[in-house]
Amino acid sequence: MSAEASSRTLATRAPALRARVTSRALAAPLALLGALALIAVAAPWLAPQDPRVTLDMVGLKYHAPSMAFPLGTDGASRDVLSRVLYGARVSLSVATIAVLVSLVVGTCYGALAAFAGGRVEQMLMRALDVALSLPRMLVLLVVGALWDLEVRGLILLLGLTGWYGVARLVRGEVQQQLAREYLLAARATGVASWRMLTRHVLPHLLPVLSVAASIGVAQTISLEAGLSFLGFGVHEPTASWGSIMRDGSSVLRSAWWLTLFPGLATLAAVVACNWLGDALRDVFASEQVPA
Amino acid sequence: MFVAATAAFALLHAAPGDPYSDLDRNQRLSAAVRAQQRARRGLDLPLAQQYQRWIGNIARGDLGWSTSQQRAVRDVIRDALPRTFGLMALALIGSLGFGIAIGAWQGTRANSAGDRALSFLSMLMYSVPEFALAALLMFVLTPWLFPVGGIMTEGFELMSWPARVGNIARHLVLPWLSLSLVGAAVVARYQRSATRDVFRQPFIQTARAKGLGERAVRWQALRASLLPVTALTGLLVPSLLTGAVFVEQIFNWPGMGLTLLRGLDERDYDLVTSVVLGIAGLTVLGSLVADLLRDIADPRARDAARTD
Repeated sequence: MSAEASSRTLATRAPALRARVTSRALAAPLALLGALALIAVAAPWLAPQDPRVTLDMVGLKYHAPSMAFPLGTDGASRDVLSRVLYGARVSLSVATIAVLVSLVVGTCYGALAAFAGGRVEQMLMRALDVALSLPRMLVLLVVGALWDLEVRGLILLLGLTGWYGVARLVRGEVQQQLAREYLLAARATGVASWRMLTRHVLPHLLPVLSVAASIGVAQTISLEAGLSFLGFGVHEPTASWGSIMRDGSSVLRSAWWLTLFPGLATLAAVVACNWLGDALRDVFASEQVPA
Repeated sequence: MFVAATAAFALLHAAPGDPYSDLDRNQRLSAAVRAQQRARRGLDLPLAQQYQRWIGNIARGDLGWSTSQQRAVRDVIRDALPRTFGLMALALIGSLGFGIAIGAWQGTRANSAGDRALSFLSMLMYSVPEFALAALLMFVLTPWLFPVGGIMTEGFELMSWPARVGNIARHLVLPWLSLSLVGAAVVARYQRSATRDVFRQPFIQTARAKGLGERAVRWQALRASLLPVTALTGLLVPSLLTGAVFVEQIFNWPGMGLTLLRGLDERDYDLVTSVVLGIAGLTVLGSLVADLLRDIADPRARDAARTD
């Protein structure tokens, strides 16, 4: 019997994600997220106007919602509906890519620590504690305020400040798996570390990572909106939901539509992601075999 | 705190521009004058030397000079810190109070209509960005209830003491409410599941079996369920501080957050590093409070600490 086969027979069945996506608890948040994603993708076809174009500087400033402009216009006479639709692309993609970055970095770091063990692991985890003790928003604010970030820089900033929690989670989870018999057997039969990781451990991380990812996206959408609202995130003329609300913050009372609609969009996206995270956790928890 | 301050120092000095960037744009000033201005604050020294001087000064309690406000950083912080601290303390009390009450109520009636409605509401509050909630509250409540921003009204100096307190309290309501609602949502979610867990434990059965009234049982359960929530307090403080930055900006509350934002705009090195220090300090304080609360909620932890 080859090493490969022996370790596989001992392996507990890795969670099959596919069967669960169809579960009822996940349907509602996935549908909401899907709808938002669809809006983002289809923005060029849905938007009635170019989101960056000033339509008529004098005549169309701060127009209330009407038939021609369903969500009104802003101070630069731009169509708010188009800006919110295009903003969905920026807000959602920034958050998603940033979370992917932090998932990759965090998983590598956490797995490395768990596999290395001993002094190296202790040092890596200690560094993580220090990084976690810094309030994330503080770092984001300072960096965002001092450099004029492009969207790409913003994604990197959000991604590279978001992985500490993931690393800690992954390290704990990998440690747990490493202590189990099937991996002991795999190790005894001489399976290489990296192969053990990709083939046996990573599939077991899927539940934890998928929950962390959806909650991470929720947080990141919020953070990006906050940064852009303060003027440190996405800059003119590009629109994100946060930056549209920034345009509206000084005219909250007279031009409420600038704050309300992007605010609702942000709320819907964050709720969808948190909801999905909760539902995923419930689904995985209910199917877990007691140890 | 040390790491936080050093990181802030490094980032500030690595970033383009310095407090005197404005001078460079002024054509009438000669290069010599500009250099002289920078030399006065020691900005012409090598970075390592600047860092050494700065750490030395901090250790001696000298926070430096705010270039944007033209006064000692210590005075700026002395004004701002109590305002943020007060807001945070009240918001922490509000979050824990509302959150525990709502969560415990939900936990005892899991899956009832009221529980579902509240779960939905807390999910909304948990998800909404603080600044959006703050803007909403401001829009709905200001015209007939509360002043829009700032910490006190004009003519404050002329008021009597009770009137002064009342004036500040009225200004506090909206920032406090914005922070507390978000915090309470987080706490309520934990408290709800903690309460449900406790009710599944054998000691509740024992209590019921020995004929304890349902009210007394609930009281016991509440005490036991507070444990996981006290651990949450340490995490709540950083998130409330993050929220405070936005809330202070929106309601023009002149605390640490607003000071930080203004200082960053002006590249005010000493001020920003000190505010970062202060906020890191408040975070540490928060975890201390969490430890204290845990000792109150859990006699076992208290006794373990004593026998150590």
